[in-house]
Amino acid sequence: MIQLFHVFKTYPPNSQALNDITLEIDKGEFVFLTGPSGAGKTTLLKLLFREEEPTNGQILLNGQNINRLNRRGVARLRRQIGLVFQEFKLLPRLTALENVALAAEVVGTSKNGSHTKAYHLLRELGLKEKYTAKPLTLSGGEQQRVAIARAVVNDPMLLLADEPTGNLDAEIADETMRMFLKIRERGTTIIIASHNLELIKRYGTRIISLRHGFVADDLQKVVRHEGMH
Amino acid sequence: MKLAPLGFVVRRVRNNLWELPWTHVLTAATMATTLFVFGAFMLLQENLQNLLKAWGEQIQVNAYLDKSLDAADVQRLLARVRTFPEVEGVRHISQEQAWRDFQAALGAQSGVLEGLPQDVLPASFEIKIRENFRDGPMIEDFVNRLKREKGIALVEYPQEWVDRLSLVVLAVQWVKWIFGGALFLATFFIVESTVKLALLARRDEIEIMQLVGASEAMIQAPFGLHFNGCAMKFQPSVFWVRSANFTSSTRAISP
Repeated sequence: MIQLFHVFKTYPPNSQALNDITLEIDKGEFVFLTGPSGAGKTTLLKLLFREEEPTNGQILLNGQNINRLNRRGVARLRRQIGLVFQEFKLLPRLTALENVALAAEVVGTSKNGSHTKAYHLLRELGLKEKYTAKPLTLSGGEQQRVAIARAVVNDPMLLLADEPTGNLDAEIADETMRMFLKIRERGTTIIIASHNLELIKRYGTRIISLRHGFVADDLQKVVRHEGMH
Repeated sequence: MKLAPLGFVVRRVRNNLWELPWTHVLTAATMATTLFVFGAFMLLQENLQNLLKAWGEQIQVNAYLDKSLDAADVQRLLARVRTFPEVEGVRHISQEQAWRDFQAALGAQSGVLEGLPQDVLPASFEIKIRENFRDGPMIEDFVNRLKREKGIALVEYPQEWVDRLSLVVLAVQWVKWIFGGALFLATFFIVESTVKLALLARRDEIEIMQLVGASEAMIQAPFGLHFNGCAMKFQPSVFWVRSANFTSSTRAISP
């Protein structure tokens, strides 16, 4: 599903963020990108949702070279990708429901349709009572759940999360991970950039370690998730 | 654009106005004031140009004819004068007409003319000058050529007035370009900065819209409508000023 061929990313004047990355990620995989700060995790995610373009190399998503997309193409690509960030990136002026519905509305879903979808998702994620609340009145875990709901409201083929548990305590982080696993069951490919080793050990089925922009390790393992079923 | 995105754009505009009313008011006020000042200047200079044009239309060259000319000679000379490129129109004032005009001008005091012969005043041509030639040196050149025409005894025109008018026209042109240019640049930068500041206030919203895959049209349309709305707020006042164009009243003020 995702193929990276000899991908390089250099920031001016001469900062090498990614060095010759070649990877293949299949549909439905649950991948952790790990490594120390500055290893290139966030850069790699940014390349995948075309926030950045590689200096060299090719990135294919479902066989499509995303480097060649024009602005309209990038917008279409992002409609198939759910994004979750450490700092949530919710609009403080909108309610939880409106934040989630926003993503559905931009793909052309009607107001009623998008609000219904958003409401069901929030209910599923345990925010039934909070759907009219503004983000700043929610806890970190609740805000992250709203962000996750927004990321999956359009049933994306790919979900990218950049340090999604960075601002959350251990219990909420654990809960968030279980949500990602639940989303994966729908067939969504999930890539999470994190340096939370505890979570990676517990939930990682594939762990790609980056060091100084290189792939240092690509480990696949079979894990049993506690409390999953 | 499909109906759902159109509804989304309209709702975004409405929400933007509702959520950040002061930003909207300040944006609208800044744009309105700036554009109004520029519009008012353009209006002022246009009216000033019209005023000068109206004054310019008053410029007239009077060519007095030899008394020895018969009617056929006058007609020939009239046709000849009409061929000059500077001439917009020529009116022949016969001796009799000149006498009647003079009497009318004196009004109640016309009695002082009693006893004078009615052919004491010479016949003349009142020549109107085309707009492009209402300039001091050009009129002077035309007058000199006119003086050389056989049958014309004397040529008069308000030289001092023409020279002053030419200077005023030149000054207005310079002020128009220098002051208008500066004002245009100031307007441009103020409006640009206002739009940028308003967009900056919405930076998070724009970023999130981009991240969730909103098309450029969907992102830009609410802002486009918002700024057009701001710009439209001051338009009625400009139209009001425009309709109050004082050209007609200034036309009456002539030298």
